[in-house]
Amino acid sequence: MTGPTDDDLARVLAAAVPRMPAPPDRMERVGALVRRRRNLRTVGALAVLVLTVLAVSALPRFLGSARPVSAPPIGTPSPQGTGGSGDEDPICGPEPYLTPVPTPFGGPWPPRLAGLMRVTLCEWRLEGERYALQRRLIVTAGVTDVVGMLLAAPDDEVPAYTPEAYRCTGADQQLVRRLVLDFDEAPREWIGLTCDVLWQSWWQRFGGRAVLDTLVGHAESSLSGPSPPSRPTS
Amino acid sequence: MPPDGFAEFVAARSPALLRTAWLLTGDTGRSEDLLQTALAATWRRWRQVVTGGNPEAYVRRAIVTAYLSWWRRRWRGEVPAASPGEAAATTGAGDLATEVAVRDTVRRALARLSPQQRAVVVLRYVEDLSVADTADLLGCSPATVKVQAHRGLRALRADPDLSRSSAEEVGR
Repeated sequence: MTGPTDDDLARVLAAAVPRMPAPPDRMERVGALVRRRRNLRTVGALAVLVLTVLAVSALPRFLGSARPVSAPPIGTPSPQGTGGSGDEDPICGPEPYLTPVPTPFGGPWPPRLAGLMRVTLCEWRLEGERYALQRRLIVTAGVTDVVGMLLAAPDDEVPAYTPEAYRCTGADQQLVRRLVLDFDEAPREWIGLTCDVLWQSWWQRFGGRAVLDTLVGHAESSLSGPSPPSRPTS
Repeated sequence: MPPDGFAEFVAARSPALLRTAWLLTGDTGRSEDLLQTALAATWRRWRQVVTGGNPEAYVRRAIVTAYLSWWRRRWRGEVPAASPGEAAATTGAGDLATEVAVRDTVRRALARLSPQQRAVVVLRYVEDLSVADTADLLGCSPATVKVQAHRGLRALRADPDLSRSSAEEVGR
């Protein structure tokens, strides 16, 4: 006895779709969405304009007291939240999904990991309509552990995979996480972390929670180590 | 005011597009939201979309993109339960129980696929797009489409309830 053919499955899928009457105000709702986005863009453009004017007016004062700014030393855990301002963080990048992140579908897994020097865990929390950066952990010690975990991250072919891996529970529903990978020479890369799912472009793997725990563990070890790391100056 | 021809396009093609959205989300309300989000994105670029020659493909791409984006933003898990609205919208009282059961089976089976597999299976096998067209629409390689389709179909075939439903469908 053979299983269902592709056509059989397709027929069942198509037949299962319920009859969904069109709401009479569909066009009005679409129009309202378009207007809302247009208004948001207008407000955003005005905000950029105001910020530009402020920046230009403050430039002479800034240039007068400019000092070389050094990046936070590598290996320094920085568990501080950034206050949820919504500003773009220099490492974590823009607030997720406020600015669409280009996702070049089709990229391979695992991502390029050779020469990985630093992993930064960025964590945003949903506050109202915005995501606010709540936590940024910079980890350099034990990066090889993370590389190993990413390389061994199981895909949905493994028997242990269950649909529950996708599910978010409790506080996870309000969080968006991103791993920012910094290399010695190659350009920066990032991996999305949604509940237990690690994803980059098209591909996804499981075991994200274990990676998260490892990163947090390394960051805490660095903080409680015998020689406290120097704190970045603000 | 919507641009010229947009309202007519929405009226004519929404049922088919809504079907795609339902197969991706498994939920009537969310599929309508997904469709409206995609239509709003299309409204703003309607002139270029029409010039491109295939507005339906554009909207379908917007639907899939929005679906994957929603999933990545906040995955809430799927709730494979029939909503009262769907049951009410179903006609044919004699087969109502069967229809609802099959729908529930399909929803559960699709919920076991990854969002990417689900998108590929829906586009390739329900919307009957070619590998090349699916890859083009999703912005991935044909090889990726083949791999995801293979895995998705294998998972669907392994579902005993869905296999039974398929056999009954063939027997009709």
